Amino acid sequence: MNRGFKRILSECIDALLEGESLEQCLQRYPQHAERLEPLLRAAISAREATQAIQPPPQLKARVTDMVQSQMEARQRRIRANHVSFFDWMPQWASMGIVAVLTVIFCGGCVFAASSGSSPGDILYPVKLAFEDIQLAFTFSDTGKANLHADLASRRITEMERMASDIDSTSIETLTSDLQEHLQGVEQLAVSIAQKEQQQDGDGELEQLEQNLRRNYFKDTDLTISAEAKAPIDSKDDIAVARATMWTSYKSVFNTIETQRGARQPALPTPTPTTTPTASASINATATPDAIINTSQPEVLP
Amino acid sequence: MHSEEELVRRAQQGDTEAFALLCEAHFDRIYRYVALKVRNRADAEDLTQQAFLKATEAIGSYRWKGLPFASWLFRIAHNQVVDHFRRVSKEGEVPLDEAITVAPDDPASITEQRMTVAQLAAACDQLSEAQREVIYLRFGSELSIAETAVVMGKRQGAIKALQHDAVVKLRRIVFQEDTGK
Repeated sequence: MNRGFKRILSECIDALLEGESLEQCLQRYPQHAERLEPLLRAAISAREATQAIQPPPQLKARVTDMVQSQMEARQRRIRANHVSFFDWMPQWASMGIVAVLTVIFCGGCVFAASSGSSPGDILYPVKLAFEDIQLAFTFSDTGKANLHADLASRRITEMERMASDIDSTSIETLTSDLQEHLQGVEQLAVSIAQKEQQQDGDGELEQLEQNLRRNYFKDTDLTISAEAKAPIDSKDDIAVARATMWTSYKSVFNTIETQRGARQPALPTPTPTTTPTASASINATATPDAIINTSQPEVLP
Repeated sequence: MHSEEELVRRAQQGDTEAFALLCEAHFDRIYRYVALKVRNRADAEDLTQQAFLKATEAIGSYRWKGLPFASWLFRIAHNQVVDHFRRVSKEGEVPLDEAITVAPDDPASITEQRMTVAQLAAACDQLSEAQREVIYLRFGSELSIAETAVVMGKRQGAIKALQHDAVVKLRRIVFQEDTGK
């Protein structure tokens, strides 16, 4: 009942923000009108109050100019690097070199160059684009799920590599990408399980789980190392990133467990034997899910 | 007319005009969010500027899949504010600098509006941090429930519940203040 009212209140606030009148909102829910009206009036007052805050016009112009100058300077730097290299050569020679370079590019040299890049580097978007291509050209669900799992883990490796000079935006970007990849694994795990059930096959889901389990332990160690290396201002952000990572892994392991339970009799629950912070003592037979359940700290908001 | 997705893609390829259009579209909302949090005009201007410059640097690594651009931008602004409060005092204890509000032509509405912003700020101090954040994002920046959920890293149901509790509490606080006068 109360949950329904919260949804109705939210709908009405959305409608008010989009320009609907208070009366129109109340007419849609006459049975709740008495309770809704004072709350919607408070919401309208809050919104009207905040609208009195406006940026000074010169600030918007100044920031837009700064942002444009910064982007132009970056573009100029990229162009200058390219032009100065070919300036002294005849045009046919430069074209030949460009063609050769293009072939090399296609052959993967740029990928090799970009593979060590981190968020903020010029080559980082190339690396992400290459990952998207890899995913697009991986056709089996199992292959794709394992690739998603490895790409999620790669984000943590990058976080650890740049930890000594990391900022909150990079942590945010990497964590969000990791979550996306693990969500991809979760969706594919369902479809792998369904196929295994139809074809009476087995083993692919288990292999995926083992791969995830290895990544989970490695990533936990890496985030601990990253937190130790990070500047004081970023330590909390890395702790939050680790909590988010744990939650995402836990969700994947739960899904795999649910899928397995749907087609097999219930398995005995393995006994957790270790904590994620002590890599040396990790017992490879303990499920990460069990470890998360027993030793993961409260997930931060 | 360009879709936001197309503008983001062009900005990632170095199109300065596309990025300027994105800044223009979100500028007032970002400024209002930052100003409500820091409550000081100079800091609000500085942090808004830093948020957009940070977004310029990071635009290459933004990926459209599942994350609204506005949420990404607000996360950057939020992080700037968090870093700011780490350097200075605690959030919510800062008195409102009335210079953050505009000066309308009508002197009567100046008093009315400024009082209302001050009243809102004082009332928000009595809310929990998460409730205050929902008020700022929903009413100050007019973000949708889905966008607010991404910025705050919570589920949409949790945001609806926080919004309900915040509005109920806000009404109670403001109403009591009114009758107390």
